[in-house]
Amino acid sequence: MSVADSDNTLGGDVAAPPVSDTPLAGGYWADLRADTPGLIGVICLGTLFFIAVFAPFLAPYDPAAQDIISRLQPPVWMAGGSWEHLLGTDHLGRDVLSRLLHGSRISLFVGFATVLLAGTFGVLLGLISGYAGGRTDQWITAIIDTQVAFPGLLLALLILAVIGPSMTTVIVVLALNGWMVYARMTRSVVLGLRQTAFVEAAELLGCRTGRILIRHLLPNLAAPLLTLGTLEFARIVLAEAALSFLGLGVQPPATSWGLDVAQGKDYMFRAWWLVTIPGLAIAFTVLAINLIASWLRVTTDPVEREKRYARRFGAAG
Amino acid sequence: MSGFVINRLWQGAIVVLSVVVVVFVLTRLIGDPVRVMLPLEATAEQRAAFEQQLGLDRPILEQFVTYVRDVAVLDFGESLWQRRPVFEIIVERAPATLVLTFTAIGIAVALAVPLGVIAALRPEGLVDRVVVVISLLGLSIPQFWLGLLFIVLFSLTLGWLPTSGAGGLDHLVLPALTLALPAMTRLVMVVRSTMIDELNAQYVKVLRAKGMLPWRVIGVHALRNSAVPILTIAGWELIRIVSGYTVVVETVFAWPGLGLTAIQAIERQDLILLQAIVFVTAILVVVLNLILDIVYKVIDPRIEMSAK
Repeated sequence: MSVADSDNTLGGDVAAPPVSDTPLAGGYWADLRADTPGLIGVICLGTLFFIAVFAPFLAPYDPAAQDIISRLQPPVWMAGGSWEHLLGTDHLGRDVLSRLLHGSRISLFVGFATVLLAGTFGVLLGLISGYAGGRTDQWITAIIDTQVAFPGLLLALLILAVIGPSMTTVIVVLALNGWMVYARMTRSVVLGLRQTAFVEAAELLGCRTGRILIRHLLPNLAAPLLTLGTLEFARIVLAEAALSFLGLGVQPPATSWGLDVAQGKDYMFRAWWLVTIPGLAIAFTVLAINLIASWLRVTTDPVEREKRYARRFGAAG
Repeated sequence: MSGFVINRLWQGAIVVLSVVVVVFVLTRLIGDPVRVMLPLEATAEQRAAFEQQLGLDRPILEQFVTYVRDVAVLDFGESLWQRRPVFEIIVERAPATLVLTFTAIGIAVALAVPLGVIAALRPEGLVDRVVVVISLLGLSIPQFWLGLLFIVLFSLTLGWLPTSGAGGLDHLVLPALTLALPAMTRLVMVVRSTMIDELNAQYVKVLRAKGMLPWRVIGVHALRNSAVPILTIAGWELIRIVSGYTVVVETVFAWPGLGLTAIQAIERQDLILLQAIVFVTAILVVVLNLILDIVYKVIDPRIEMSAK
């Protein structure tokens, strides 16, 4: 209740609001319920996870099973569509719905793995850089600055051309391209906390450096890292789709939404659904993640929370 | 000022050199250029001849020195695909990419500033909500898919614009719009939030109280004070587009720039051409960063001169 009380005094001169309306009065869940777009995002992403996990049981067909006789069938609601293939079939007669369901696995897995890999590496370097200071900090900062100025996507293409595209390469390449943001943010937060009383107290008590980093500094990074990680997740899902679209990501016979758009491109005029449906799936997924990210950003940032709070009661009063 | 420029030039040189080292390690040490570039049925003699042609039979350190020297004088070698100097191809293709990039960033700024300002006038009003929703959608739609939808709508269905390739201005419209949209949506959010903060500032209240016309308060005073953050983000978007985001759009619209050339080089296993495009892009990014830094400095003299 302490959070609610302090917010209450801040808003006191505008209009005395009821305690239950104050942000975070009932924790994240209550705040989420008050934020409709965020709630929609969470529900959508939850559904997608469910689909990704249970795709083999949900999909009516094997996503790679070809059936040339029933190729390019339109979705069920169009003339010539049938209930056998709800979303129609592609140029090889593969079931679009089944490919769609299976495609969610690649998008979410690549997104998660990349964020985890890049995040771990970036946070670790950021912690070391911010805490150690001096030479170490200078070197790590120089590496970050240099790599930020790299033509990242083109270098990624070169790596994929040299090593050969696969899901693992895509994850590694995207992580190599994305760790710097985590490192920069971690470093700046740690620099701010370096001289605070609780860190100095821990040092005086004789805590080992590792313990200070993990137990005392890392928890302070949880909220901003969560927001950043979510935003990066959305970016990675788009990047994976783009690489697969270019033919440099996930390789057939595996399925990816980006790959499906690329394959449907040649049949764009005869079979618009082959391009439209997987593209919609990507947009839907990224939108859900973005909604969660914007909710998290406002909720976990005290300044943003106050602004929103002031607007809410400024408008009402 | 000159100290500042020299400092930045030095940093830029380090970036380019790092890219050269990374590319060298990638293509010569991790990957096998002979395996990637020659067909599988090549004979042992052909392989040996090819190795000699590229200097791959030399000690690795000597290879590296030659490599850096060649890049320094922009001698990237001969393209395996087109059988002519790579530099020629790049000079031929670069203008298309630059035209596309600057048109896109121009469109993004021209749309984002008025939209963001109007949205900021009434936070959470109708226009603001529409702008926020549109920018969320713009951030979530994959660029290649948006390009394809544009082609279906404006070229195939309505027949207003050509589907692909280069030519007159009409060829530029769809690729530039596709490239501009994500940049525009991020920019609009920045314009909106900085303008909301500015319009809540004390000086705006003073100007309003003394009876200054609203368009002057907003357009001259508040907007000028938001110029630095807006320009910074616009600069980032420019760099982002240059550093590789044209690849996807150029591929969708068959726009004959460096991005499409990079993809064609990959398809034809022409690593020499591909790595040259990476170098040239790296140099371009460094130069643009330098120019942007100087521009920020001119606009806002408060910005620190030193590197840190």
